[in-house]
Amino acid sequence: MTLLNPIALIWALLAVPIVVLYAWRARPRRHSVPTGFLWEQVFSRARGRSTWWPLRHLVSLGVQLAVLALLIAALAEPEAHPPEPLSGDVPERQSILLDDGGLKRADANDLRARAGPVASRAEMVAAGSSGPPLWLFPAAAALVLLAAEWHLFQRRWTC
Amino acid sequence: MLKHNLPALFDSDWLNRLRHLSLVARRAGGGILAGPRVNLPAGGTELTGHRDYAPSDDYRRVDWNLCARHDELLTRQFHGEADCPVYILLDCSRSMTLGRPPKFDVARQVAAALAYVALADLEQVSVLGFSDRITAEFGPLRDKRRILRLVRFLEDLAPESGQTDLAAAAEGFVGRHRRHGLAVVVSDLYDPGGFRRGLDVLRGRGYAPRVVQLYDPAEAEPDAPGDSEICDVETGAAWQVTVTERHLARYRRLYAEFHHSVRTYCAGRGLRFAQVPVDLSTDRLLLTALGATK
Repeated sequence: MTLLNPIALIWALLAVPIVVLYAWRARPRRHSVPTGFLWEQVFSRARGRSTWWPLRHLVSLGVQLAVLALLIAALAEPEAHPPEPLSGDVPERQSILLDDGGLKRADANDLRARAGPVASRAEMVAAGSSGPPLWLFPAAAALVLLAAEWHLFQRRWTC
Repeated sequence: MLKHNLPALFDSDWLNRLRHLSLVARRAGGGILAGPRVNLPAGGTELTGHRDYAPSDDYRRVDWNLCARHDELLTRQFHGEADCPVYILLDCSRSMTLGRPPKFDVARQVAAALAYVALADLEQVSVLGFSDRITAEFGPLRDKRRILRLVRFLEDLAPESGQTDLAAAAEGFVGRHRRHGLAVVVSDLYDPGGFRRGLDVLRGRGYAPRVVQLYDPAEAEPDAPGDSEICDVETGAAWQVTVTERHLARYRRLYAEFHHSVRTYCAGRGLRFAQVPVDLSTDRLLLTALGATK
């Protein structure tokens, strides 16, 4: 298996702020109070928690990292069967069209027409590079994850 | 007024202000230090009148001069109050170290103010620190010109590591002091065993308790939402919990009920008391503690 876009793996660095925020939030804030006898009455009537309650932050961290890993894997474009090299007689003159998505459609069509015998192969390469910029997806994913993390950090759980 | 080297908690301006505040408190009828005093067993020394002799009267009270002039037995009637010592019980437990300003600093200033007012009335004053027992004692003092010695004692007083146990402290107090008098408790009353037991001990042994409860209004509105570790500063007990709005609402309700219970207990037993927030200005705080304002 190969990665067609290995540069996308750099987005794995997003895991660092996620883990840092988890570690920060996992440490409870300490409050020294003089009215412990009142707080004891408050918590003595609190409902019992299920066994997964103490692990909820760890589960949340796992889900976020798993989502991040899936997004990065999608962006890296893993290819189970890499393209085979060209075989047969190679013309003296040949051109291979590599389109990273920066070409306009009219220009791409014009280049394909001029490519001649290798037009079909050029078309395959051009067809895989259209669409919005690659950096948009991980940026959006990062913003969503960080916003969710901050929201959970600030949220007051109600029950 | 004072030219000596004064401790930091009591500056010369504060001490000069005491004189004015004590006059205000006395005009208010004595404030928290006022109230029924102990009558002398023999009636006192102030002559209030005469009445006809009754068979059970002490013959030494017969006014023989009037008897010789009017040819009838008349006994003198007297009125007077016994010297009533004032004991100021100052809470030195760790819960008093919290608050803005720290309740312990405010409590020492209140104790000094109460002592000054009592000394101005020529009463005998003693100041005792307590937590779960009597930890320090000063006095008795009778001359208000020696207030500086008391101020230095209060400045050197430090919070204790023990928990608040007003009942045990009261038992220790009544065991070492036989003369009955006023016992003014200056505390936040955050006693896990209940403040009532200690005050009942004082009442049961013939002391006239007065209560000055100090509190920080911020203690009624804790800022501890979300994942928190709530740690009691005296017992060290800790709760690692997720504090919710429901917890906070219940805590506020319990806190209000606690304060209400103090008022109900004191009012129901005719005890003079003052609930003083520590975030007041110094003048207003002292006047409230002295009972000179509502």
